[in-house]
Amino acid sequence: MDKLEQLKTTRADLDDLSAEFSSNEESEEGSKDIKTDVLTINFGPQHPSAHGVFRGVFEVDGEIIVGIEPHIGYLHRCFEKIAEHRTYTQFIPFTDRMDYLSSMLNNWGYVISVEKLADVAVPERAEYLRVIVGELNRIASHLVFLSTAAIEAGALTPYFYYFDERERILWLFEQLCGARFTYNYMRVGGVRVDTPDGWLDDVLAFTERLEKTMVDYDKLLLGNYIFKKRMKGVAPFSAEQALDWGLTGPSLRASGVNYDVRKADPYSVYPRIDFDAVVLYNGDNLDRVIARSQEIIQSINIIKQAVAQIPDGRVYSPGMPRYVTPPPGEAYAHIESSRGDLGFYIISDGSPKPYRVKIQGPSFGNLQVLPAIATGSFFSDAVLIFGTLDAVFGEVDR
Amino acid sequence: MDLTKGQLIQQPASKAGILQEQAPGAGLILGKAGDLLNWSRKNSIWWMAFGLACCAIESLMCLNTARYDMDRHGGLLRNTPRLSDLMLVAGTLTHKMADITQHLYEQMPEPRYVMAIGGCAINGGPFYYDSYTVVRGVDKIIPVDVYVPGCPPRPEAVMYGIEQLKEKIIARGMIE
Amino acid sequence: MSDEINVNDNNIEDLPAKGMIVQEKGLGYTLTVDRKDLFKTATGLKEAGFDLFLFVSGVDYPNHIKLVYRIYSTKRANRMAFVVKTEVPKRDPVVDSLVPLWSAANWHEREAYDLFGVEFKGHPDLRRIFMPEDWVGHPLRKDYSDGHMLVSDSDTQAKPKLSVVDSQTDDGDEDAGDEGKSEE
Ligand code: SF4
Repeated sequence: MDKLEQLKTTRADLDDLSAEFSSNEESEEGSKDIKTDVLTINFGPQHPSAHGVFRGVFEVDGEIIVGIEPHIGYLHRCFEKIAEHRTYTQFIPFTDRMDYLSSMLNNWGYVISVEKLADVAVPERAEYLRVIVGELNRIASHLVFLSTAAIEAGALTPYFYYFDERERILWLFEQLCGARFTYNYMRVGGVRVDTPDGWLDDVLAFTERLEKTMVDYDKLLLGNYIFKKRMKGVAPFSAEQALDWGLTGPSLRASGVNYDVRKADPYSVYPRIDFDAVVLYNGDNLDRVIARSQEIIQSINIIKQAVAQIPDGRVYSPGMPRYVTPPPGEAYAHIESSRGDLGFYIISDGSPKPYRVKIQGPSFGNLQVLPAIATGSFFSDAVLIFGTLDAVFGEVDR
Repeated sequence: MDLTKGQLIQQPASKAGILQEQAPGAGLILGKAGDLLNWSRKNSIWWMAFGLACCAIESLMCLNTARYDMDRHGGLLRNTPRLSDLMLVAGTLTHKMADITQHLYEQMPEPRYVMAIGGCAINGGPFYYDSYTVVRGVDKIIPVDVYVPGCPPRPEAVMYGIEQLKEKIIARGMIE
Repeated sequence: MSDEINVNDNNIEDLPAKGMIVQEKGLGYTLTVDRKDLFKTATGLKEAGFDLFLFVSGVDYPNHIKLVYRIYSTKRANRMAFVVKTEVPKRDPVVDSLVPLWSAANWHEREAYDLFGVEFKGHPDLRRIFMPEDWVGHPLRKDYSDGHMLVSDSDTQAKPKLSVVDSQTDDGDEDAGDEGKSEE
């Protein structure tokens, strides 16, 4: 018993000590005497923690980051140019490959913009199916986020558990549309196919399972002392800073700004569904992780309600032409993707091909925060901070 | 099998044609040095995951999970080219990345193998047309041993690719 | 959508007379300003509580490049988004940078510079962002071409089918076929 108490007090000491150390190392008298030089360290573009192809040139003074120069564009695949050379429907498979961790949501963001441009009504069943697959995909994406966050903090075990759950979602998607990863499921005016028999029951069974297992996983990851210690208080970002830098999505909400497109600018059938936008207030690494974990719970909630409410009927609006040809004009529509505010700005000149498609990828806006957010942190936390911003390079570089 | 007496076991020729004599307290292996080398190479492929795009998640991250478990194939995931035999190129290669890829390839020790995973790594895949930055296939930059098609390929397909590579390693002479 | 927007805000009335707020179909409230007035307008918007800069994008037209900004307000009671449009001639594609107002504009303006060649005056670090530094040309301009780019011939295939589209009876499509089965 004594030992336990002793351990506890040491932990408290440790907390105080590290808080002091990280908040103002200027006051550390010893450090003033040591003359340090600024060292330039290159990170990437091929680096296992870079989540793809990111290159950052870090300037470090001792252990502290004093500057970051991010270099992107190693995966610039010209989606916007390609869109100008494809018909509206032909471009849907490309949207899968932008933010490849949440392909369904990308499909959705694109078709919702074309629908707005062409004034196409979507059958109700299709809307509900979109909500269900979209939220499933959000869960899958957040599971990847949590596992990579764990790996970067040095914990390999959660990765296997989270990916096991993710495989179950992929299995559901495979039943639905035949693909594990790049779905091409949504169409202008609905979705491609209706569900197979019993699929909705499988979805319900999965959500029930995940609800239970997420409790365990949260204990495993977020209850872990070392993980919390590494994440807590690292790279805090205030609401003003976050807005100034154009952060969106769970990272913005972790800083205390309640901006969720599903609430702020409701689309599809979200107004009929009761859920909360997850808003946390510290804006540090730990909150950014907790926000994702909480969003999974909210998504489970949404899926359950959507499955309960889904009507029978068509999944594709009748009389859709082979080539969607919107009238000349412009439209912008956005959705809440798993990374933030995903918008498509489309200009039509009346031909079967868009004149211009601008993709507003949330990862792009989120990644440019990195220099502002990570300067002043420890260099060893750099990949953690980078990881919690949750950039997917297919979307950053487009 | 009585290991106390020396015994000569000849393995079938298909298994690298290794002659093995087991003597008390010691082992003796007879065979062509090249076969032996290739046999050990084949069973300890250390790969470098060079994930560039979507294929990296599907084919490399899923591959290491409990469901697919690449470790069964006798390899280790290394993150540096200097320690690896096989480079798994998964994803779209752009002009900006091409030099770096070549650089990484040159850092790998011989014998080195490259596997191109996914349509993009094979010939540019969906980005073959209308794209001003995409290199149409990694084989424009570095030699490729095994191509695994798909967009993205399933993890099983990559496993099959590894098995094909093993056959290729076995069939290869020691010095080429 | 942003239906219940009040336009009668003082700060918006302050805006230059050249700019007119219109409600465009598909875009919501839109303001088209002269490029000289862009910074002033944007300052007005920032003061009016528009705190989230979402993107700036170029659109290439034969003689000019249109810049489209989307700005959002999380502070105002009726959370609204605003689209600001301005045009720059191709001969002299220069416009004021909005980085002093929103740091978020930084990379977005670099992107517009890289892909369209629009120069942002006052940008702290105007470099190419996606393409290598030594790349020639601005790829999202319609007349861009280089040796690397294979242009698909789907252009010539799809255009004549315009008449087919209008008839709305074509169901030889794969998707429509799938759909027919799944519904009935
Ligand atoms: S082959 Fe397909 S899935 Fe793989 S990187 Fe290319 S586009 Fe992505």
